[in-house]
Amino acid sequence: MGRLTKRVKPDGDIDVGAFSDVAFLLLIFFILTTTFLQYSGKEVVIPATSKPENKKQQSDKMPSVNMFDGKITYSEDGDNLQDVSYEELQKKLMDLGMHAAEEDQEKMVVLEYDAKVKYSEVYPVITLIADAGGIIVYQEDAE
Amino acid sequence: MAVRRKPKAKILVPLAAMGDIAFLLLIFFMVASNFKQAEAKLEPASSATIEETERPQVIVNVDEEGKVWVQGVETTVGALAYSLEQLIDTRTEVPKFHLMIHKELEKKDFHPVIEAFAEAGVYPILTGQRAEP
Repeated sequence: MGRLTKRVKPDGDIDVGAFSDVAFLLLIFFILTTTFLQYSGKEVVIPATSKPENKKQQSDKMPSVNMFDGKITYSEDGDNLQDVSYEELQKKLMDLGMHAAEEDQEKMVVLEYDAKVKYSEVYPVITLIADAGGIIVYQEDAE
Repeated sequence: MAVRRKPKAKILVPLAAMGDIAFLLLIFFMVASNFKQAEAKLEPASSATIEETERPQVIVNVDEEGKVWVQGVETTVGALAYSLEQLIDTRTEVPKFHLMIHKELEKKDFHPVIEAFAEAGVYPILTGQRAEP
């Protein structure tokens, strides 16, 4: 008589230990590769020049910043433009005390630049004026 | 004399629960991540006087080709002022607009965008990279 052998029932259990390992590996991957966006900027006040109420506030005796031929020139009253560096412009704009001014007209700064200027050159000047508390007034360059 | 062995306590770690926790955390990080918009290719300009701002509510990008993107939807410069006014009208309070312009654009490409914001009566936050003073 043959020996009776027990039939081994197949085990239906799934080893879930490996799943958690995979999940943690993916988790670590996303933690390391996720970059949180940081936003840096400056709010700029630029009134619409086409509106009549804004045009009335503009006068000829406003500080003026010009950017032509790669140079920055500045004038406190619209005349006597002087070549300035970025740091000198920052000091002159801060000295105007626009943060303490109550009237918008006292905060207005005329900004002009030629067609060849790139945004990377204009951006620091715009944010500089905004940082000094200025309101930017655009005047088109006569091309 | 027979030595009684202390029966070893069987410690069963519920591995299935750990997998659930791991997947939940994974889903959280996947949902919380912000992915950059693939359509707009632009390099931001740099300035030393900008500072960290809050998260934007409306993002307007002007890419290297001069195309204007409002909340990821391409629009024209001519329609930008109208789009901005529509965004303001549909909300209870004026949202914070973040405007990022590609640094190599010339005046003919970026100036109309800034003018459109002025016409819409919106004061944008010009975003860029912080540069060392």
